[in-house]
Amino acid sequence: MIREGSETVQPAHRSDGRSLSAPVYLDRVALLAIATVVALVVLHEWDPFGASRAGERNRLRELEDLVAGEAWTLAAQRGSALLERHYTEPRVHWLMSQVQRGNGLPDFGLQHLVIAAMPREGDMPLLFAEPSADALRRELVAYESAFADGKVRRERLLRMVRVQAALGAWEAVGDAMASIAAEGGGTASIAETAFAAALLGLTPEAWRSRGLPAAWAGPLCSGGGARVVSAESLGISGREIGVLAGGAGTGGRSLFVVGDAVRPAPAGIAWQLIAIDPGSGAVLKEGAVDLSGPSGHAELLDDWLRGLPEPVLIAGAASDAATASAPAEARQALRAALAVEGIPSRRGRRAYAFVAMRSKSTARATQTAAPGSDWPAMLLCRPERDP
Amino acid sequence: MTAAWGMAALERYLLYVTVASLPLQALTVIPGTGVTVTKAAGGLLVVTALLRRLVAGKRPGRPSGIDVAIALFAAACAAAAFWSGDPTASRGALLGLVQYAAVYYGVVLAAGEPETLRRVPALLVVGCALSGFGALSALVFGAPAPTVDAPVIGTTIRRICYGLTDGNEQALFLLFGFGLLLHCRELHAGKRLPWAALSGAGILGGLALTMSRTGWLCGAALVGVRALAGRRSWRVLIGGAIVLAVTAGGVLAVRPDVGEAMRRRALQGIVTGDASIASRVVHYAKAAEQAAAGGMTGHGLMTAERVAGGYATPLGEPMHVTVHNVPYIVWIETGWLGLLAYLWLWANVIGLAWTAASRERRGASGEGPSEGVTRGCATGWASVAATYGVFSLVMPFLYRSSLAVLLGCAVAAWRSEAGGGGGSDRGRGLE
Repeated sequence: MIREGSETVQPAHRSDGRSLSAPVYLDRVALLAIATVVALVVLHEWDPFGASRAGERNRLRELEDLVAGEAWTLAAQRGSALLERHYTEPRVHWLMSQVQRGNGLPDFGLQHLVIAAMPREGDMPLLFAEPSADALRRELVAYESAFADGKVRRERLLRMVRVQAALGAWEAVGDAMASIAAEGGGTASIAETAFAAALLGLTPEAWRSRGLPAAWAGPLCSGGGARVVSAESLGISGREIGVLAGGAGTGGRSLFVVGDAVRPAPAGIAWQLIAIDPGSGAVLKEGAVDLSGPSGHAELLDDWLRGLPEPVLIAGAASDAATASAPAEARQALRAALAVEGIPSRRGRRAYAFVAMRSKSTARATQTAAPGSDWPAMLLCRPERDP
Repeated sequence: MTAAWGMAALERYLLYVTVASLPLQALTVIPGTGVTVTKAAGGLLVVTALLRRLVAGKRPGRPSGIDVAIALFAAACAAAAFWSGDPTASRGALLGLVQYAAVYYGVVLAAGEPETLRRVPALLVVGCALSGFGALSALVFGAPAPTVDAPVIGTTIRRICYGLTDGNEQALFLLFGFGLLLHCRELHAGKRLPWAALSGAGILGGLALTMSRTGWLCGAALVGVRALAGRRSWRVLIGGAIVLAVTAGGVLAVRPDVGEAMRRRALQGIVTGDASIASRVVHYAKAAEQAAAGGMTGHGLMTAERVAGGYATPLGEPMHVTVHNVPYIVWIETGWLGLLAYLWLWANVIGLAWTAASRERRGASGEGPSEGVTRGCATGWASVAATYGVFSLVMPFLYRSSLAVLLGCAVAAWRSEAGGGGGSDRGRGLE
């Protein structure tokens, strides 16, 4: 008899009368079976034969097979699904570049190539092996052939310049920029230089140490859709405020420029905010607010803004991932607190930058969204040079 | 004698490998082949089971109890393949289903012996526990490489699985193991309680990381059913609560963000609106029209994605998904005949499970004799069938050889409990 709880129960038994409630241990055959399964799992992890085809890697290899077989339509479907889950993986973008080129959509493909080529910020772990520089170079050459019909438009050229810069082909960058830069002036502000450097995957210091001409900065920024507004219209005087909201297309980096100071910030799923005293230009507070959760957005923003003097200037940078993960409630909270409008839709995957002036608990703002997934959003609040 | 013993041992080994590898299929690919050990062992099992009985001069097997329903469903599938809108795809699918039927009968034969059948639940639980601990380790230590490590689409909620390539399917298999662990007394009785607790911790941890809301709900339902099952099994439930608390506490201590992610995932449908639920409703409504248009024999096997995959949401966005409901898929692909045969098959399965579980309960309470394998085994397998039944209403898992394996094990257990004989050698032990 076995007691279970307060109830007495009979053991189950077989027709031969033998009780079957006695514990049965895994016999040698069962242990051997478990050992077989464990051995195969270990082999998979170790992968001495390079034959692992599990999970996401399997899906990537399927995509690679489709690309190799030039099955562009199916590859576009599979690649899009893979990008939904692994938007920051350069290898997927490199494959999608080939897919979209194969589908006759080179402008879309080139956007993927830019993201694939951009240097990564920090130690972001990657699931898939990065495409080699040679592979990226071959892809770029394929675009040069595709655009050999003489219709190399400005935006195409700038994208190719960005890929060439990421690959270190500075001579080619110089050749390409020579025609564009002739249109711009010979000087650039600190913010313009910082933005242009970010577009080429450089820091402002690296831009200067390479001796890149200031004349490139303006065309790069304007070609990238930088929005320039009058600082005075926002109540700022005497100094430049710049916001570059980056993302996958800038290697995961955003930038704030306040006067002469350039402040890099990570371009993750959190919204990067910086509070500036409009009179002195002093940075009062900087930090990140994660608005990707399902609720409590208004409280998170209120917490961040609490204690700040007014008037105060709030500059914000939201990466493509941040706008893609902000629910409607978060957008409503941002509108209410900072009067920002036009935040890109969740499916849009575009970065977003704004500068808002808060005074007496009301706000007015100016903002801009990135022109494409491979571009950052760039906002320049520039003092009138000749008032 | 030696050869017979060897063949019997090989048959058991193949069955055990097939069952233990089910929750880890994507990781158990035989190197250099691209074939999972689950499929290879399942195929070999069919051959071995037949050969063994032919060599011994026995009949290959007795009816399994749901054979008429299987035959009717097979006929409906054959008709759907014959009048298919995509004959190539349908012929391939039909061939696959025939193979699954062979695997089912092979498993029923191999699992028919009580000593074998008693160990099968433990093998599945071990596989599930390995899967769960693999996912937990991937979360905490970053290794081994999970089979799924990606945000839930449209969110930033991270989903991790170790073993299968779909989070919901992984959750389904973890629930199979969980159901057996809760019900099969042999798995948690006496000195095996610590092992059961350890396995339960792995399974629950893995289940949490799948971020499958259907999985979580089914897990809670399994616990509820266990609590209300009639026997006041406080020991199991208190032990389970302790395991849950320790697992949750341990994971949250190391990775507090998991708790936040789970909270967000759970609230997703309530607070922010849920596209996955909305799209299912839209899809079901549209799929019904297409299914009805398929007539008696449907659009053909493996055509659901083509027939019902081009729908758009009310906003005009293409869905590019198959119908997340197995009865709907069966209806679309095999028409009214197939749907009726499928429902009849389920009715047979439920009848068999109900009879076995009732008999098991009477036997356990001393009201009647029991020829069962072990206490709780029939109910445990009934929980597996019920879990799949619920999942199949919101997920598209149909063409899976693993389901044939599990149905074979379940039917063998129920037949054994009901005294009908699970296979040709039931009760005779190994020769």
